[in-house]
Amino acid sequence: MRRWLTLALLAAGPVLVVGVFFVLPVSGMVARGFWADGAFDPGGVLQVLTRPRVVRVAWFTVWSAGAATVISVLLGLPAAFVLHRLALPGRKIIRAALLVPFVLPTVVVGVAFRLLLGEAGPLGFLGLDGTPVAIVAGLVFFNLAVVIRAVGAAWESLDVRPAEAAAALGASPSQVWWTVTLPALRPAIVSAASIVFLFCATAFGIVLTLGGVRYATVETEIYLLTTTLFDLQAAAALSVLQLVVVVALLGLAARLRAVPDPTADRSSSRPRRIRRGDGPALVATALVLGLVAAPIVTLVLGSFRTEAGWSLGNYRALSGVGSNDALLVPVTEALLTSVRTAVDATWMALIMGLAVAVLVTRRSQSRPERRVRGLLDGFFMLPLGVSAVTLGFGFLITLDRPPVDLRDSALLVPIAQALVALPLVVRTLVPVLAGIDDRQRQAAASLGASPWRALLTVDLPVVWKPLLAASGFAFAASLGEFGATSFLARDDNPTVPIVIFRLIGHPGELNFGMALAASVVLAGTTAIVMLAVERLRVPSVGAF
Amino acid sequence: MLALTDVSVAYDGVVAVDDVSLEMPEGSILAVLGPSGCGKSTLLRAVAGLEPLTSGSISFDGRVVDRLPTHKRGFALMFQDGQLFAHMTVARNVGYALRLRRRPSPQRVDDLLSLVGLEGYADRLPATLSGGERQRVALARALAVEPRLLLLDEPLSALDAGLRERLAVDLRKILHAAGTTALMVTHDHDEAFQVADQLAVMRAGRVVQSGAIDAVWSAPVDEETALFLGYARVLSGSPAATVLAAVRSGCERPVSPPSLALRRSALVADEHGPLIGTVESARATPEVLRLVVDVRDVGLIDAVAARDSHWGPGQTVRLSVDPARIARVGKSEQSRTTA
Repeated sequence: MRRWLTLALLAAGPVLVVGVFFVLPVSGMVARGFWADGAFDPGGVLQVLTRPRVVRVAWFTVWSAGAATVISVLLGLPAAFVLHRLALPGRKIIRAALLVPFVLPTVVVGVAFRLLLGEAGPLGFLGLDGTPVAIVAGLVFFNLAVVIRAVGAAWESLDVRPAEAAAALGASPSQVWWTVTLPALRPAIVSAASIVFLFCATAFGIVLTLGGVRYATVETEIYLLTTTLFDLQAAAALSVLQLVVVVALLGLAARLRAVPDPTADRSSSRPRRIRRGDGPALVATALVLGLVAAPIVTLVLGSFRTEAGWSLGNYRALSGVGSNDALLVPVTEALLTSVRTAVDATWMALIMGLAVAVLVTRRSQSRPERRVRGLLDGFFMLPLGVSAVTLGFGFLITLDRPPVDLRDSALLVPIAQALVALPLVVRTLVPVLAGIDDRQRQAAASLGASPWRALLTVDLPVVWKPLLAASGFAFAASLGEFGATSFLARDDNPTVPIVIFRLIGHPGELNFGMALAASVVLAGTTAIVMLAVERLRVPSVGAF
Repeated sequence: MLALTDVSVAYDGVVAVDDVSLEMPEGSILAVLGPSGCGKSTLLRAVAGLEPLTSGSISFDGRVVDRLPTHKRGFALMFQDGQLFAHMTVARNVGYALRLRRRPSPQRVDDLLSLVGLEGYADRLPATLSGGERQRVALARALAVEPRLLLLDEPLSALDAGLRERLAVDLRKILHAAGTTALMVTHDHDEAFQVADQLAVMRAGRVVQSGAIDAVWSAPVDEETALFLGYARVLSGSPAATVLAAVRSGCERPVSPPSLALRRSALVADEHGPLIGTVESARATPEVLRLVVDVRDVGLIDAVAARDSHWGPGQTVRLSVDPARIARVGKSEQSRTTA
């Protein structure tokens, strides 16, 4: 009985928060789609979904996300191998550097790619600006880190002895790869691929900045329908479609991930020396590094270029509002707002995430208890699957009247960002907490430690570093959050990603230069936070 | 025939295997015996091609195999914990090497499973097997393509005592039935005696003694080797002379006696025995009564008495020496002949 009470107490807070700030907005969104003008009208939803433009948008979403996923996995696998398995000099720094794109604000990524591929850019001769290829390249840039982290972590902890046993039985290196290594890595690859597909299919900032109106995905279309065309029913219909597809995808991924025997032997192995046969993998890794470095280098160089040649002019202009009064507040003020918002979002995500992680990793004593914990685990992963735009839009239409009226609250944006960051925190903490042998706690208890004392003795020493890493991760993610924030931030109190988007939407050399400078500042801040996180060496950061 | 010539292996400059030379005739079973950390597993991995040699060379049937990658050597390696592929059934594990060579044979898999006594296990997953069953599957898997050399890394040490003894006998029988040349490493001298017919004792990266198992056993090269081979005590000087004189009753005490290694049952309570001592303690075991006796001119030493006799501390006991249970320690020409 006491176990259930503790479970209920621990679950109550996060469930309430996610219920009010996630389920309510999203279901409000769904309801909006089915009840048009006060009458139940499911036909309207169906009608929206058969519009030629909607079909085109849906198809584009699927194939661009699919292509980006396949390319990310194909490029990410050799890089994961080289960076996690070989004794490559400087591999730790390279690993940290490759994590930066993942937390880079999506708007910044978009700006960087436009600069790189634009007519005046270094790769302008390819004529890729504004094409689907540019969008896919942007998505790959953004998601490579996910594949490298997730698969690399699995690869690093993969026991080498089964592979050695296979080699001793006469398997050539390629036979070892197909019959032993790949099956062992399959769960990690499938989960990385499904998460990448999810991120690609719900990508917002990148597609909006690179695709404009011509190439829209479901996500940007929802934004367009809501903010420009005011067709709320169509937007709701698309949100429902996205929700259904994402939930189905998550279910499918869980099935694919299941292996005959999940208790794989884990051990940490020393990186081995580089051999001649590693050549192709090394070349692929160099290609990955080039793909990641090119947009960033172009962005940084571009930010120092003004009409008067190389100067810090763009950075100095950040204390102003741009030419033609493009902004309502100076960029520096937006930066302060961003940091303040991200700090609030971080502690919210951290408290909730810790409670959720403790909740789902505790050993269940009975079948119903296990089932409840499993359901809760899935419940708290929902924000990962639902697009930030849907969430932001849902906030807008449901939290503006009693019982929850937060229209003008300063907490609205942090809450939305915390929900977006929640799955990241949970996914960082759960593997760590789950890795603690329950018998350690039992040993502490048998020596006379109270549950709290046992928590301090056993869990805290293991968990403080991942906790710090998770907070850095959440902070970086909140700093760059664009999808939900673009709906919720007030015009006179924007965050930096919003400001950047507004600046590139306004004509004028100075405005674009300021957008670049602001992008560099934002990217630099997130990069520094992520490098600090990387120094904590928590393998589960960014590994889903 | 496997031949190792001056083989050395180093990890990051730390020498794990130091200048080892060994020869193994075809069909023999050689046990490399040594304490943990002595480099014996590294030696095995070097033979398998999993560790590069720092110097020296390894040849098989006269061909140097140093540069040959593991999968082309044709040696099968059986790991300490089996290392079955967890995602494959027992039958797929056993048939793995056959499939690699594109000649899958369900019949051969069945035969191998019955060879190791696991008929009917074909469709089980490794996770559902006991430790002993896993080792049997690993053995069947290793034997599937009749490797020219079977490498066994502590094949039985992960198992409990009773099972280990049974499986050791089985292992020897199976290896002999298959006519396989096998090199096994172990830290357990009982395991070595039960399975192997040749023995190499390894310490701190070097082979300190090698030869036919009986030859090594009856003449350990030094005190440490003797203790590692399971001898209870090593005597030298005057106590050794006393014991030696008791063996050849009537003989003179030798002036410069060799060191003597004694098993725990080397001295037996015997009312006509030449040695006299005082019982310090007595402990009953299922088979014999184990005594610790303070023997005149020798000191504290282990002895045995009949299970149904009664000895207690303080009693005076006469002891005789069982010559089969003592060994001379030191260089002996006979045991230096290479295996």
